[in-house]
Amino acid sequence: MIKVSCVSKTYKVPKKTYKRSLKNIIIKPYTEVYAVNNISFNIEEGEIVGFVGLNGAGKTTTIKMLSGILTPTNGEITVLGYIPYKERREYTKKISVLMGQRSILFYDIPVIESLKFYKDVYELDNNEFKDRLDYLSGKLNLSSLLHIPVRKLSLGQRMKCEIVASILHNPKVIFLDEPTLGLDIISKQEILEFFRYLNQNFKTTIFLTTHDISDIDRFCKRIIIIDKGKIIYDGDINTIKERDKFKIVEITHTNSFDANNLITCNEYNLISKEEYKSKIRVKKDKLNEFIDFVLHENDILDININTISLEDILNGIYERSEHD
Amino acid sequence: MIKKYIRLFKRFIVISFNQVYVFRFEFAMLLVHLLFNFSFIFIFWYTLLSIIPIFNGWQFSELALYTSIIFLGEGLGGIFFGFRDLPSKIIEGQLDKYLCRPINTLIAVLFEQVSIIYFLEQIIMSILLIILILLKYKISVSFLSILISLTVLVIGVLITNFIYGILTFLCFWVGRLEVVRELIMQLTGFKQYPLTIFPQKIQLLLTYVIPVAFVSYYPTVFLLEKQEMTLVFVFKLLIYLVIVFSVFVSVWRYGIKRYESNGG
Repeated sequence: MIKVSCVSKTYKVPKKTYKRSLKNIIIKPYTEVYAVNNISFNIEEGEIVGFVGLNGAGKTTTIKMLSGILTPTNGEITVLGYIPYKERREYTKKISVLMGQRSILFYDIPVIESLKFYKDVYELDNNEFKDRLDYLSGKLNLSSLLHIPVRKLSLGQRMKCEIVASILHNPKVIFLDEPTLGLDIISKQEILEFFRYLNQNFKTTIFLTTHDISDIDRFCKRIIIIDKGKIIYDGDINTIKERDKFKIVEITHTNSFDANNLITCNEYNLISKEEYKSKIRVKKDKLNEFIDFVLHENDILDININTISLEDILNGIYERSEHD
Repeated sequence: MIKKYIRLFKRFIVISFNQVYVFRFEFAMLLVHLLFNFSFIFIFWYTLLSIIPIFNGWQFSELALYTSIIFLGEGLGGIFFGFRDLPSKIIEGQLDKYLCRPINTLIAVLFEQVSIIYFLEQIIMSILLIILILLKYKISVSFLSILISLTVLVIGVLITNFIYGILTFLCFWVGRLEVVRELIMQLTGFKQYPLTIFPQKIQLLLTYVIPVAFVSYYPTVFLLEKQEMTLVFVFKLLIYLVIVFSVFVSVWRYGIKRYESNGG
C-alpha cells in the first residue's frame, strides 16, 4: 500500500566561507545535508503506524514526501499505486494530510463555510457532503460549533473541525503530522480514539508522526523510529518495550541506604540512583523474589512497581545511536 | 475542470462576503477611504488646472476620467491581490496545504485572500464615476470606443499584474523581497499623470518597460477617441501579453519545483 524504498532527501545549505573570491559570490558554495537518509519501509492497508523521532529527525520531511509536497532526491515512493509528487491531482483525492501546527480553516468565518470550501475542492456533491458532515460532526460531537468563527474556538475544538475538513472526502490513507500538539489530555484521547474508530471501521491506513510518546503507546501497534534521517527501529511496539519481560521497581529509602546492595544478581539492574529514590529494572519472573527481599530491608520506606515506559526505552535507543 | 473552478470562485466570493460581514465597520471605512482617494486626486487636478490653464491639452473632465479609469483598473487588478503576501506564505511553508490537495496551488493562493467585495466596491464606484463624468461634461462616447477602452484596460491590468507576479515569484529563490518589489512597483505611480506630458523617451519607457500606459493613458484616449487605435498597437499589446504571460507561468513552474525540492 505504501512503499518507500531507499528514499533520501537532501537540502542545500549555504557553506560558510571566509574566502571571498569572485567565484564564491557568483556560484554560492553549499553543502548538502541529509534530512532523510536512505529509508525504506512498507505499510499495509489498515495499519496504524507511529513514526517517532526527535525534533529535526526527518519526520516532517518524510510525511511531506509521502503526501507529494516534496520531491525526494533519491529513491522511490508509491502510495496506493501512485507516485505522490508526479500524479498529484489524482493522488491527493485519495489521501488526507493533517498538520497539527497548520490550520486549513479560514480564520474569520464560521467553520461551515470552510467545510463547504473543501467540499468544492474535493468535488463532493451536496448529498454526499451532507451525509458525511452529519456523520462526522455527530461522531466528534461538534454540530454546535459549525456556525462559530474559527478564531473563537478553543484549540481542541478547532482541531476537531480541522479533522472534519481534512477527511470529508473519505480518504484511504491519512497522514497525521503531530496532530495532538498542544492539546489537553481529554481532547487528545478523543481525537486518537476517533482515528482508531476510522481505522477499525473503514480500514483507513494511518501514518502518524509525533514526538509525544504517550500518543503512540496506546494508539499504534507498529512504530518506526527515525533518528538523524535514518530508521533505527521498525517493528512491533511491544517488542521494543520488552514490556512483558521487565518491570521497573521504584523504591524510596532513607538517606543512608545504598541501592547497590539490592543488586544481588544480574537479573536486577540499577537504572537510576538519587538521594532518597532509586529505580531498578527487574525481570518479571524474579519480581516476587525481589520484592520479598526488599520488604525485609528496614531502610526502605515505599515501593512502586511500574511497566517500563516507552519513553525510557526510546531514551535508551537514542543514547545508543549517539554512541555509534 | 472549469466547472470546479467556477464553483470554487463562487465559494471564494461567499467567503469574502462572510469576512465583510464580520468586519462591517471596516467595510464602511473602506468606502470612505476610496472617496478620500478620489477626492484628493480630483482636488489636485483642479488646483493644477487653475494655475496652469493649458495643461498639454488636458481638461479637468478628461483628467477626472483618467483618474477614474486608473481606479477601475486597480479594482480589476484586485483579483491578483493574493500576490501581496505570497513571499511570507512561501517562507512559512503555507503552500503545503494546497500542494497536498486536488486544487491548483496558484489559483488557491491568489483567491484565498482576496476580499472580492472590496474590489467590487471599487469597480462599481469607478464605473459610476465614469458615467457621472461623461454625463456632467456631456462627453459622448460610442459603444465601440467603450469596448476598445475596456479591452485595452483589461489586457493592461493583466500585463502589469503578471509582472508583479513575476517579481513576487522571485522570492522562491531569494526569500524575502517585498521591499525590492515595492520599490519597483512604486514606479507605477507614474500612471497617475497623462503620458503626453512626459518627454518622448520617458513615454516609451512608461509604455514598454514599466507598462503603465496600458492601464491609464491608452484606455482613456481610446475612450475619448483622442487617438485612433491601430492594428500595430493591437499586435504589440497582444505580443506583450503573451510574452509576459509565458514568463509568468514558467517562473511559477520553476519556483514551485524549487519549493518542492527545498520545502520552502
